[in-house]
Amino acid sequence: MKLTVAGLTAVRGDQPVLADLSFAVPDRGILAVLGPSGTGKTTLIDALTRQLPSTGDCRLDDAPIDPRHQHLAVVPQDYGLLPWRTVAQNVALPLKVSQHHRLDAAQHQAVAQVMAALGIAELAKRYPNRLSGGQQQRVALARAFAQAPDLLMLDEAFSALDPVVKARAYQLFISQWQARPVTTLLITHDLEEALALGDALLILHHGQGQVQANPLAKVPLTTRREDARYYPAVAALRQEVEASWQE
Amino acid sequence: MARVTKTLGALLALNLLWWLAAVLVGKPVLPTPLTVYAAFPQLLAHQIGWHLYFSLYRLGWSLVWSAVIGIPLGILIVRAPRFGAWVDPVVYLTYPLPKIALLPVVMLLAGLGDSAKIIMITMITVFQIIISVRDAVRQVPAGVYKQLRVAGANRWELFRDATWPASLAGVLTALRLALGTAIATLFFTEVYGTSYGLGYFIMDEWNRLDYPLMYAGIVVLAAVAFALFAVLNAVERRVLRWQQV
Repeated sequence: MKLTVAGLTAVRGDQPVLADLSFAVPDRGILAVLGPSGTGKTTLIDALTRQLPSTGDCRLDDAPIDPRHQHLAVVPQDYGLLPWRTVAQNVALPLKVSQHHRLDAAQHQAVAQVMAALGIAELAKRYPNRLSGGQQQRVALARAFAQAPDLLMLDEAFSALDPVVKARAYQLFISQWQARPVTTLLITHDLEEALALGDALLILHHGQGQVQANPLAKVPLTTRREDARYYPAVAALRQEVEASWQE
Repeated sequence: MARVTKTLGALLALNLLWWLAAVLVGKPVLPTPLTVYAAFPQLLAHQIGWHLYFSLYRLGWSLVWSAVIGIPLGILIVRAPRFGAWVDPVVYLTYPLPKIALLPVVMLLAGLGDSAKIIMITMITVFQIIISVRDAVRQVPAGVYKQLRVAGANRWELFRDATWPASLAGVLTALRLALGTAIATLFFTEVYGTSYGLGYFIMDEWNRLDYPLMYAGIVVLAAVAFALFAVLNAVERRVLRWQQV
């Protein structure tokens, strides 16, 4: 589904955070939203999912975004797992909520398949407090993909992982995303991550920003981080954003 | 098994200390454990079953009322912030009051029967439930509610999947804390206006200078407290499996 955001303005407390922000993400596109903390990255997700009052027009294809009518998935930095639900119950939760707690055989199978693909099938009966950070992140990814969302939003979803686990998490994300491509907003402060996973970049500054192409967009996701142009592109992007981020 | 062995070991150690104290004091007011256990058969003749029944009846209803009043209040203070803004300061101000001092007033208003005793214990334990539930619900990570709302959850689903499981943890913590206080208050309230209850039984045997039987009553009261804690622990282990590390 195509995501279109037009004139989005949101206020947190009495601080304006997003100011007349407009952008679009094509169907099955990945837009990396970049910015240092406090630039309204999380506010963007809260406004899109109607957790925060906002003005503007946000649509998936032609329908206004509404969590009650579309499948939206968010993977936050703290993963948002319910501590009192097992891994399997957490993965199935959004599906259960949207299906009024009645899953059909195909949905049960989808949950099992995603869990197996992300290597958490054997953790099914564990509670989140018995999982490592990397395992929790995989549960959150499984929860997002199991519901076959119309829009996937990753809010610093890889930030809390150490480098080794992070590299594996990228691989798992890419394989899942390629198996079930979905329009995706990748919110991050990590320039390398934005270039490694995004088709296009939106650099937020004072609640505003323009979409620009990712110079590596044509390189396949699976090989992008090994591509010779990757680190030069990171360096160029760093130079571009450095001045504005340090203001 | 290790737990049972440790409990039995602690029980044995306590009895040894008791025996040592009894020997050192050497007065009828502190009989040895063996003297007290030898008096146990007499408990039946003194209707210990009825005393136990009335104590548990009062304790049970008090805890039920505390939960019925305390759980919704604790939840509402957090989930209905406007209501909470009014009620939270009232709880804050009244929690530290020594409510046992109101026993005469409660007895004047509710009579000398079971109602006054149940009201008194409820008044004391309900605050622990309100505060524990409030704190437990307050600690639900914001991300949990966010996930549910993004999935399209309605208010009932937010309650069922987030608020209720969190408050249950608070209730069990509170009951554990409240149980000790409740039993102490129960003992105190049973000294007045009743001929039944473990509190009455213990004080009555004290008045009769029948120390072995008085201690037997104390041992029964302690056993009741221990059994209730054990039940609570078992419930907690089952319901709060997600907290176990």
